[in-house]
Amino acid sequence: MSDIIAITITGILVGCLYGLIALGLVLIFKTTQVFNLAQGEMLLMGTWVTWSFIEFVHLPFWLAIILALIFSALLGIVIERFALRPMLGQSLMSMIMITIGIYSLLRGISLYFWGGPQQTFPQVFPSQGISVFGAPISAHLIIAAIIAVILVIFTYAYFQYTRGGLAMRATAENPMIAQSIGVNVTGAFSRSWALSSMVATMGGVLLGTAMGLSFGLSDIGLKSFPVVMLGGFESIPGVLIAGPIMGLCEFLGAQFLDPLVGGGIGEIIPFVVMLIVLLIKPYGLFGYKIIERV
Amino acid sequence: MLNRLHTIISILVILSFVLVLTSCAPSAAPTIPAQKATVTVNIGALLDLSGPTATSTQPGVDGIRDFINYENQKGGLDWSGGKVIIKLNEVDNRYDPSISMPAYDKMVAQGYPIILTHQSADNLALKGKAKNDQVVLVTLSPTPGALTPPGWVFANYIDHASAFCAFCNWAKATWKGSGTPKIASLTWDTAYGKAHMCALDYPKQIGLEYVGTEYTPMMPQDVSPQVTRLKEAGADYVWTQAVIISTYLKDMKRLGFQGKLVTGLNTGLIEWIPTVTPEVMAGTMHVSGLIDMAAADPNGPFMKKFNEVTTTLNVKRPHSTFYPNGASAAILVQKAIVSALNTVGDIKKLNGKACYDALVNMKNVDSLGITDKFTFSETQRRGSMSIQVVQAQPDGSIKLIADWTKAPDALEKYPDCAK
Repeated sequence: MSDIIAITITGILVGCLYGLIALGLVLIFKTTQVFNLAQGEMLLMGTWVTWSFIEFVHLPFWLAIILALIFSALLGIVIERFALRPMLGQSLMSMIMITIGIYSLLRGISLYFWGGPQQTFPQVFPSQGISVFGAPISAHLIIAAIIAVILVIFTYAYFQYTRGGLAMRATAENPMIAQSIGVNVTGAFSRSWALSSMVATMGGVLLGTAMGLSFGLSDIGLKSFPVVMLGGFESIPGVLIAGPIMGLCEFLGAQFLDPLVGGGIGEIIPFVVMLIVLLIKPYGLFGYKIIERV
Repeated sequence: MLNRLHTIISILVILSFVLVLTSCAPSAAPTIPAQKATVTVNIGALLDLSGPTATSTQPGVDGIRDFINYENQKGGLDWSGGKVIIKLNEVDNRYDPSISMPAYDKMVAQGYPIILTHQSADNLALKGKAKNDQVVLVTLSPTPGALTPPGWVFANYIDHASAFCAFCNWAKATWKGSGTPKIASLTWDTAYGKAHMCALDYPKQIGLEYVGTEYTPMMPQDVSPQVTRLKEAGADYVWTQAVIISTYLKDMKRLGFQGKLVTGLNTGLIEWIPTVTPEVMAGTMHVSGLIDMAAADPNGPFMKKFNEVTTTLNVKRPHSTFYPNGASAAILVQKAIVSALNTVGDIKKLNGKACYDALVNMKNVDSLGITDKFTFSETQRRGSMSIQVVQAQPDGSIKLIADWTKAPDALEKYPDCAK
């Protein structure tokens, strides 16, 4: 019984991290209507930079993260300014193709500077287990999940209760009208990319401190896609619900279905769940239903 | 007048003949001994120097370069006709066989007798061509499909499946618990992760119990479900082909799993020590076909040579799992070339066939202890069929717990292993 509890809780906690990474996708889509396929690579690059500050500059962990977040914000702004902004007004497919190009570029840069082997962060979070309802749960995962949830809540609060967030929501609704009433639309775009990049870096660091850091970390970005689709493309609270759902599906699938099929089913269960939900609710659980009057 | 001219010309012609004939005559007693020539042999190397696996394979590349450059800097290797310098001609294939193929063709056209390779894809793609072109491939990656049936691809050490079988033998021989030891697998759900799976019948055949196989993605965030099942199955040893093991170790510790993780050939423990605490790592074993630099005797032949080489070349090389792989490949190539030259006696006669003959006739040749002694034959293309077992200790050190132990040949026992 304690094993089931451990797997359930672990799945939910890991799902919170998926939700944090998915938040980056939602932030960009919410403001610019662009689905960023380079989210995983932005996560990876921010995490490599954090590691580099610790490894080569010998900065303390907290300072390395702060500097890496600043770097990530600048990276997001540069990407928006020079890759996406010139494409404003172009078709959606063109915008998505641009993000594929950004993916390749960031991948190449990461490979060039940091190469291939696994690297590690110093031990920051405790590695032992904590007993939760009698089940041993990784203390690191608990702390990481709490941080992820706090970040999502803060981001939601920013969108709901600040002028900057209001501007971004207005831009997402209708950029032309937003501009006509004095909203700095391009500034809103830049802010969304900067925030998304920072969120991706935090997600990468939280995962990297647990799993180590290598190029496979960017594949975690792929796991955030079903979270976004399940939660809703524009819904920040949606990622907080969808993430744990996906994590739970993955771990319960691995626990009960893997022995039946020889393994690997846990990886695809979230995508299957996503497909089923989208058949019933095409905009996701909390996505905005768009009605266009002709 | 004309007669006088004819006479002068005749004398000059005769004098010329005399001079030519005397210069061709052997010296009766040479005053300076004849100098033995230094010859140069060009070999090729298809290596990932800037691609996705570049940095992880870099230590192996360093091993090749260092051990070749060291001998060259000393003036070359000795053979019966003098000295031989080996010139390493590298091509960066960026882990892409489509780059390796034309590079290989160019090397063959330039007459290289030996080409070093590092990727399984290259070995498989070039196996047939190497036989047709009569060029020896010496590989750092013992790809079963390239080594069996035996062709012109030679590996310096053992394959994964045979190493797994050897570990099973060791587990049985050293078992002190009750009943029979139980072995399981926790590994990547990839071709590499399954490299030992063709030999899963072996534990049962020798009286061990194989209790299950669990798969994970290459970068799992958590492996609780898999470890839970292994714990329920009571596995004593868990074999893994995964190269990234930190999550496995942490979750095993957290879930109170008592079995020991056993890593396959390419997952040395040196690289993983910094990633987990000694307490988490303690008991983990590594089965290797190559010397483990962390557990090696610092006064042993390889470590002494390593220090000598790196000091002479003035390079800094951290201890790593892959450096000995490159070093032993370099030694193997050097021994093959010297042996071939001694047989053919003339640099002009040195070719792939001569190197091939030298290799298949190589028996119990010293490899500085990096592997067990190199022994090839007409049917054996792996230079060493022995393993060592090292284990992480509670104090964070790594200790050798089993020295060179002969392995059963899984490629012979299980034809599926060669696919």
